[in-house]
Order: sequence, then structure tokens, then C-alpha cells
Amino acid sequence: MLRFVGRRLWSGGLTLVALVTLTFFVMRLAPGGPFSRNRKISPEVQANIQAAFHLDEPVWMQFGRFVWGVLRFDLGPSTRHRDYSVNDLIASGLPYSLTIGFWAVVVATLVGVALGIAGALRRNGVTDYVAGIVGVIGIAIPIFVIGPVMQVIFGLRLEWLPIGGWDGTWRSLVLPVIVLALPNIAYISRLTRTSMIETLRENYVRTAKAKGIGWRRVLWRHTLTGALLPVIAYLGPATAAIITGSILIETVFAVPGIGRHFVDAALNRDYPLVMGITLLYGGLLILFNIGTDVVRALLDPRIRNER
Amino acid sequence: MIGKASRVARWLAGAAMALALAAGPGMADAVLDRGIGSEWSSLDPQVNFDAAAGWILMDAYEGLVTYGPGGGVQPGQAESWDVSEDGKTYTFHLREGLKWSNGDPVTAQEFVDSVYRTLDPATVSEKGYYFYSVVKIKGAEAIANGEAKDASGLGVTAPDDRTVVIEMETPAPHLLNIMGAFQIPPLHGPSYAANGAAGFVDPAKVVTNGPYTITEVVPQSHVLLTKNPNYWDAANVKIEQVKYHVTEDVATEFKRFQAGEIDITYDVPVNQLEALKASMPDALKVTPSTETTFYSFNLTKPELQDINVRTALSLAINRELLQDKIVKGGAIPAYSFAGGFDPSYDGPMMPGFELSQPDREAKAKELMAAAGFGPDNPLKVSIVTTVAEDRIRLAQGVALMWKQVLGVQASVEPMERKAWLDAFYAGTWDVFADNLVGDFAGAETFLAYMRPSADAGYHWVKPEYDAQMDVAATMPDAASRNVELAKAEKILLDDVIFAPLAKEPLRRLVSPKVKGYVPSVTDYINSQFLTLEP
Amino acid sequence: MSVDVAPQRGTSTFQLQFRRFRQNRLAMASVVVLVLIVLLCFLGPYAFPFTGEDADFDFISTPAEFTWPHLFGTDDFGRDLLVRVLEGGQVSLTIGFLGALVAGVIGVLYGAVAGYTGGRTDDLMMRLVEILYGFPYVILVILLSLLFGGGNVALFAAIVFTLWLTPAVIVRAQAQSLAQREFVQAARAGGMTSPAIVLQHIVPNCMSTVIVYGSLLVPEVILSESFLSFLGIGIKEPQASWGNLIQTGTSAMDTDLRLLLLPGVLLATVLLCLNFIADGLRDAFDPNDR
Repeated sequence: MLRFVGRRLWSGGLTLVALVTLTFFVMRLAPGGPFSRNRKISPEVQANIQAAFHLDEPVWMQFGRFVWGVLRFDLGPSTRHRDYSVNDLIASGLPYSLTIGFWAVVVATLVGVALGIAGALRRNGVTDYVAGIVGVIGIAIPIFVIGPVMQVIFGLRLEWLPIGGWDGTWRSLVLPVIVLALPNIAYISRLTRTSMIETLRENYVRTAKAKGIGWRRVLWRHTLTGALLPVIAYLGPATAAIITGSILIETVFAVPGIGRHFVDAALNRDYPLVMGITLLYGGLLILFNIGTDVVRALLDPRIRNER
Repeated sequence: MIGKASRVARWLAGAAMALALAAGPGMADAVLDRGIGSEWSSLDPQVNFDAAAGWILMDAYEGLVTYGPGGGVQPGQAESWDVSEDGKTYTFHLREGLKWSNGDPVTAQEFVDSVYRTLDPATVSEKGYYFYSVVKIKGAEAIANGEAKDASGLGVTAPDDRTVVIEMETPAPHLLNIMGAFQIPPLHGPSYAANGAAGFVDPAKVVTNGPYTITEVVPQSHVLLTKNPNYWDAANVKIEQVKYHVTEDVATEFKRFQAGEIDITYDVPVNQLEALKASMPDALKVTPSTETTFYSFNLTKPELQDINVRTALSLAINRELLQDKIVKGGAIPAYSFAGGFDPSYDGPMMPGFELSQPDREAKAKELMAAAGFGPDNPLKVSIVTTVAEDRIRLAQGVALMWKQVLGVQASVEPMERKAWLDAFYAGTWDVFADNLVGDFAGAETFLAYMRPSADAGYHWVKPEYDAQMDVAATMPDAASRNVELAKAEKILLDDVIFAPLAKEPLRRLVSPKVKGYVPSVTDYINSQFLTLEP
Repeated sequence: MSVDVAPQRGTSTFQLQFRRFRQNRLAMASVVVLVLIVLLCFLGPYAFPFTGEDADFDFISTPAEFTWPHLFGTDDFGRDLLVRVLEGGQVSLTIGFLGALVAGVIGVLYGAVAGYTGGRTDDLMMRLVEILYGFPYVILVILLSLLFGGGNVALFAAIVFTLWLTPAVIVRAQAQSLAQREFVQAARAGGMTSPAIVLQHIVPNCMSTVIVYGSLLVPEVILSESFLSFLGIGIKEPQASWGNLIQTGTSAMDTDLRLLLLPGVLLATVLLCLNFIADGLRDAFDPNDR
């Protein structure tokens, strides 16, 4: 196992390098640059601004500068947010996104798996349909509809929760977490249900049942671990995506996380910030993928043989 | 039976209400909460370039002059000023006993330092053009281009601690409009020397000279300002604290306004406008701004080189219908380019203004036919616009009108902002959904922008225009200047290089608790002139 | 304990499965509803004397009075809402189903090959997936729109480009456990080639997961189109799509609910139908159920 993890970390590192390099060069192909904003500046001043951010140097030199910076944990200044470096921006926004994301993953997994199991056990019964519909609401109603609706109900009408912003208490978390969890509940519950139905029918489960083991133990021991494999695989990339924040959630609920940077930095052609975000997201993604692979290997002895 | 049920129901309702009240957030009433839309660009006074940062800085710092309720020029740090005969030299006299928030005295030299720092290439500021383009201060351009390495040649000097002298190459009556805190706050020497630019963002280190100081900064969330006791007019500053919130989503901001979390919003959801006019007529403020929207024609495209075609396209647009029924954002239909911002400017209107809209459309059809276009030979144009909802609706509306009146096949191509800017200079457009925000509420800032020498992207060749603008630039007083500018605008409008469409509005919701709110075209609403009633 | 079943006399496996599907009443009802909606979208607009792009400035924002010809009223350009929703359905359903299908097929094949083959190949394939995941999506979209112009091809490419990644990851996980199963090892021992094993054993056993996941992809594709229009790609106005109709409807939610309800309800219905159909397919084609 240790060798497995070690090898994956090594290849993960290489992947990250490839991702970052690819992003660095390819993103410059998009039209416009960070300072093609104001049409009133004179060419000399424009040239000066470009030079101050080293954008007039050949691309490979800028890349070298970037790499040198990364090695010293310095991701450079942001071109759009003039007061802050990329490090500052990520450091200030990440805690918010992480908190909301973490709880959203927890809620989505718990609720999704529960709904999926309920549906699988009472197949084609009322519970299944109800669980199915509840589970699927998250996809049928888009975030930009559900968010504002909940704001109106819980924020304006009932006044239980703040509409947006961050007042430091758990109250600001509730709505963003729920709304962020909803689409993932849909996916997780459907995957769990299908997988459970299949696993419940598999031969080794039939064998266990035939041996007379109580169905509860059968459920928990034998089926759940097998059934959850696809869900765990799904959680790899999904967790990385959720944890790094969703721009929709952060816009609707006015949360100062890093989710918005994923879109704004690219739209503003804020090259250093795009690189910082890519580094962060890529790193998390790779780590979570390694993690889910390890978990699956632990749960399913059959995979372990391969490794 | 019924009695029991209703008792239970009432009990439940009471419990729910008690729960709601207990759980509801209590708002601090001494804080004015203002929405600023997108995050401020920077809190560095010599670098920030957007309106959001502008409000924060105008509350925290004060320039030589300030802008009172309604946006009019008032004495700020300078209590009076003299203008020379030829209009090129202004002498500002600072008040006595001016102090920074940490007790240090404000000196005239600090204003000089501020202008120099804005122009210095090392600061990488985009605001320098105020000092060599909007007005022409001596020596300013040389510093910005890197030709001059120090402030010795700069036309901003401090002969003594309480006098600031500004010398310009050409007279500029609008100089006072750019002497506020947004453009020229003083630069506090000791703290800048000690902390550099990082000091501006750090509440522990920042030193300000305006009605408020910065006490809390949370990126992408808010900035909190607290009253500055060392401000010369602190006695008249009524509101203790001002909190500026980043409000990216206009629908969320509206809900926060309804919940009482925000007192002055940045914008209003456009589709609510009609409903709000009825339900919140006092809170809703839809007022003109210094932004004008116009559709530019690509003069390198052969079909559009015929002035008849351009005139037809301009006349076929029903500007009132466009704003009232289609865009519905509160914009004011415009038939000129630079008029309507400054009451003392009496500018010309576009050709065809004097006709009624049905007559304009008839004339448009004639012109189009004369140019050789018709149902069997329709003109095809692309309209390039940004992806903002109201801009797209505007483009769709115009496209529809061109189709219905002239049979033109117009395609709307929304692009994200950078691509849109890029497309402009690449010339890959037939009609460009253009807009311009003036630097101050006067005709000159708009007309100067249209100089062929100013922006080559329009491909407009008209030496008469440049010559006339040069004539206007030599006029020392506002009245004669405006007369010459009007002549220039006539040259511009008669060439129909664009179709003026509208003057964009400012849309705000202002809570009834806020008193003293007077809308201004330049959108300067200093918190020091407002009061908050509980 | 083999799972492969010899076909019964007279009927093929496929016919058996199909019959089982037909017996699932909920799934059949969903098929009927779905087909009705599709027909409505593609044929419905012909019943009206105008198209979804004909603006009538005299009838702006009329409410839904269920009177002919504007059954559900007009939008704020004076265009008939029902026709716009139907025409929007044509585009959205096409892109939705096509997109989900293409992404599903690519994802399944990619994941099955990676999971079954294992070792270096699997490593390489998954690393490529991670790179595509990590690359900034907005920049990708901008570049694709540059490459294909801002039209529907670019939209399709932008959607599918990253959509196949998660199905691939999920299928790969399943393929990994399947690869160790006795029947697969038996097939290998029996001399079956790898491609044949992948196609005949691995893929069918992953099908239910893929079908269920794919049914969720269709609405996701339709809705992601509205996010993409924000980036300058997407269905160009005045052409309607459920994505942009729902988007406009949401911003008008407080004043005019029907602008959101009509396309929204249709989309939700399609989703529910797909749900039940997917379940039915899963039940019918489950190899373990034979």
C-alpha cells in the first residue's frame, strides 16, 4: 500500500507539473490580456504597465519567473486586484470555500447515501419514489433558482437566516451548504441506489444470506462496502470541485471565497491568479483522486491484488 | 372543535414568530451599509480606478475640493482658490490646522507628492492621464512617459505649507472637477515612506485626512470606515461608521436591502423596476449618470461607408420604444453625444432629431433604397456587444427594429468583455455596442475622446474636428468653451459615425432611514453629508 | 456461479430484456410522456401562425390567458412564450441527449479500457483525465469559441469536452473490480481478446451505472448552456433554448413566474421521465437478473 501511495504521489506530482505548464502557455492564446481594459491610456503608459508585470518578456522567460516563484511559495501579484498578491487572495478566500465545501460534501454524502439505500431497499415502493424525487430535485431545479428562493423563504419571510454575507456564525453556512449539496445529493443517491441494487443481487451476497447471516449484517458488511465503490470514485473529482467553491453559490450568497476566482481570473486574464488557482485546484484534485483510490483498494480486496 | 384548532394554530403562530424574532439578526443602527457592486480595484489612492474604490476613498480622504450633495464643487482641504487671467494657473489656499488621522499636519507638499506618484511609471497607475490628457498640467506627460525623472518640472508646486499652485499648458475650467479625493488626495509622507503601498490596505497603518478612516478590510467582502475625529469638519459628520459591501449579485443585494442589511444599494434588478416604482417610489432613485451608450459603425466596411446607410440605420431606431418597452432599465433616450450632462452646455442634436419617429422611419427607408438595399438585397450586419443582460436586450431590440423598418439582417454577437475589447481593435465588427463614461459632467470629456488622434479604432478621418477641438481648448472660461465645443459636436454628429442611443442611469434603492441623499450625475455621494435615522 | 446465460429457445436475450422493460409500467409511461414532449417540441410550433422570433411590440408581456393564439402569453419582446419554449426544447433536447450520449460513450469506453487494462496504461489515462479536470474551464471555453466560432459547434464541444471525465472515472472504478472477477478471468483464460472482454463483459456490467448517471447528465447539459452564454458561447438570441429561457425566467421570478415555470416544469418532467426510464433499463438489462 505504501509503495502504491508513493508511486501515485510521484506521478501526481508529474501530472501537476504538466497541468501547470500547459495552462501557462495555452491561456495566453485567449484574446486580450490583463490590461486591455481601459481605452484611454497612452501607449507609453500601457507599455510601462506591461513591463511592470513582466508581460513584455518572452513567454518562456515569464514561465521561468513563475516556476522560480512557485519554488519559493510566491505566486506573484494579481493583475486585477492591485492591493493583494495571489497568495493573499487564496489565503483570504480559501477558508470560506473550504468550510462551506467540507460541510456540503458531508451533507451530500450522508443524505445521498441514505436516500440511495432507502430507495434500493424498498425498490419501486413509495419510499423509493419519494427518495428518488427528493434526490433528483437538486438537478431539476438549478442552483440559481433554488438559491434565491431559499433566500426569500428563510431570509426574508421567516427571518431565520441571513440572506448573504458572512457574519461569522453557523447561520451564514446553512443555506450555502444546503444549496451546494443538493445537486450532489442527486448524483450520489442515484449512484448509491443503482449500485446497491446490483450488489444486493450479487452472488456473494446471496451466499451470505443463504448462510443465514441476519440481513442487517449482510447489508452493512457485505453490500455497503461493495456498493459504495462507484460513489467513492465519484467523490474524488467532486470533492475537489465542491471544496474549491462554486461561483454561483458564492455570488448568490455573497460569500468571499475563492470560487469566483475560477471564472473572474480567466475573464480578466489575470494570469498569475489563474496559475495560482490552477495549482491549487489541480493539487487538491490529484490528492483526492489518490485518496479515493486508496479507500477503494482498502474496501475492495479484489482491486488490491492488481496493485 | 374549531375553537381548539384555532387556539393551537394561534399558539403555533405565536411560537413561530417568537422563534423568528429571537433568531432574527439585529442590525447596528449607527452603521450606514452601502453596496458597491464588484470589489474595489484598489485602496491605493493613486492607483484605484473604479467608482467602487472611489466612494471608499472619497469618504476616507479629501482632496483640494470636495463634492457636496448633488455633486457640486465645494471647498475641501482648500478653503479658497484664485484663477489667473488666462485661466492656466490655479492657486489653492489650504485651511488652517488641517490634520491627518494620526495628528500630523497636512501640508501642501503632500498634494504635489500625490500627483507625482500618480504619474510616476514606478507606481504603475492608470490614472495619470487625468493630469496630461483631461487637463494638461505642465510637465505631467514627461513624467508619465519616463522622460522626466523627478518632480522638478511638474506644474504642481507648493510655494509654502498652505499653498498649492497648479499650472497648465492650456486653460481648463473643468480642472476643479478633477481636484477631488478620487484624483488627488494628499500623500502622507511618513507612513508611505515607512510602509509603501501596503500601508493603504492595512487598517493598523493607514493614515487618512478625510471624514473617515479605514478600520477593517476583508477582501471581496467589505470595508468598514469609522469617523475620523481629526477631520476639520468632524463636528458635521453625523454617521459614526460606514460599511461598504461587495454586492456582486444584484438580486441578492435587493433581498438584503429588503431585510434591512443594506441601506443604499449599488443597483436595482432591472425587471423589478416597474414594480418598485409603484411599491417603493421614495426609496427608488433612477437618475442620470455620466455614461452614454451609442452604436458605432465600422467605417472600413464598404456598405457602411455610405453616409446614407448610416443615417438610415440611426433614424430607424425608435429610441423611446427601445428604452420604455425593451430594455426597461431607466436609461434616457439620447439624440446627441455630449449634451445632457452639463446644464450650461447647449449642444446640437443628431440629424433627423427634428422629425417625428414615423417620419424618421420613412426617411430611413428612402435613404436605404437610395443606397441600393432592399428586400431582395438586404444589408447584413453583425452587432458586437458584451454579455450583460441589458446590453444584449438593447442589441436585440435594435436588431429587431432594423429588421422591421429596413429589412436589415442583423445578428447579435455577445462576447465576454476582453474578447469584446479585442474585437474592437481587430475590427471584426460591423456595429459596435459602445459606451463611454465621462471623467466629469461636461461635454469636453466626451468630445475629446472622439478625436481621431485619441482612438484609432474608429478609423474616422476628420481634421476639421481636431482643429475645432483645439480651438475650444484655448478658451479660458466655461461659457465660450462650451460654444466652441458645440461646434465640434456638430461636426461629429453630422458625420454619423455612430448612432447615439441613450444616457445610462444610476439605479439605487435608498432606505428611508437615510437622510440627505441627493443624486448626482457624477455619482459622488459622500457619506459625510448623510444622516441615518433609526 | 457463472453469470452468462444461454439464450432460451425461441427468444433472444435482447427480446427478453425488452419484454421485461415493457412490463415496467412506470418506465413505459415515462417513455410515452417523453415522446409526447419531443413531438410537441418539434411539431408543435407548426400549429401556430408565428415563430418564436416574431416580436410583436403591441402585445408585450401579456399574461397566460389560455386564449388562442397566445396560450401562455408573451414575453417582454412580444414573442409567444409557448412557441419559444417549444422551439427552445428542440435545441436543448437535441444538445442534451446528444451531449449526454457522446459524453457517456466516450466516458464508458475510456474508463472501461483504463480500469481493465490497469498498470501503466491506466496510470497514463487517468493522469490525462486529471489534467483535463484541472485546466481552467473558462479559458477552455474561450479557446474553443475562438476555434469554432461562437456557434453551436463550439457550445457542443465546450460541454462535452469535460463532461465525459466523471463517467470515465466512475466506470474505471467499476472496471477495476470487475477485472478481478472470476468470470472475466475465466474468459481471459479461455482466450478471449482484451477488446472483446471489454466490450462484452466489462461494459455491459457497468451499463446500469452509466445509464443512471447519463440520465442526470441531460438536464445538466441543458442548464450548463446558460452558464456558457455568460461567456459569450451558447445559443444566440433571438434563438430560444431552455437554458436561456430559464435564465431569463429566473431574473423575472418575482414579477412574472410563468416565464420560469413553463420551461422549468418541462425540464423537470423530462428529468423525471429519464429517471424512471433509466431505472427501467437498469432493471431490464441487469445481467445478474437473468
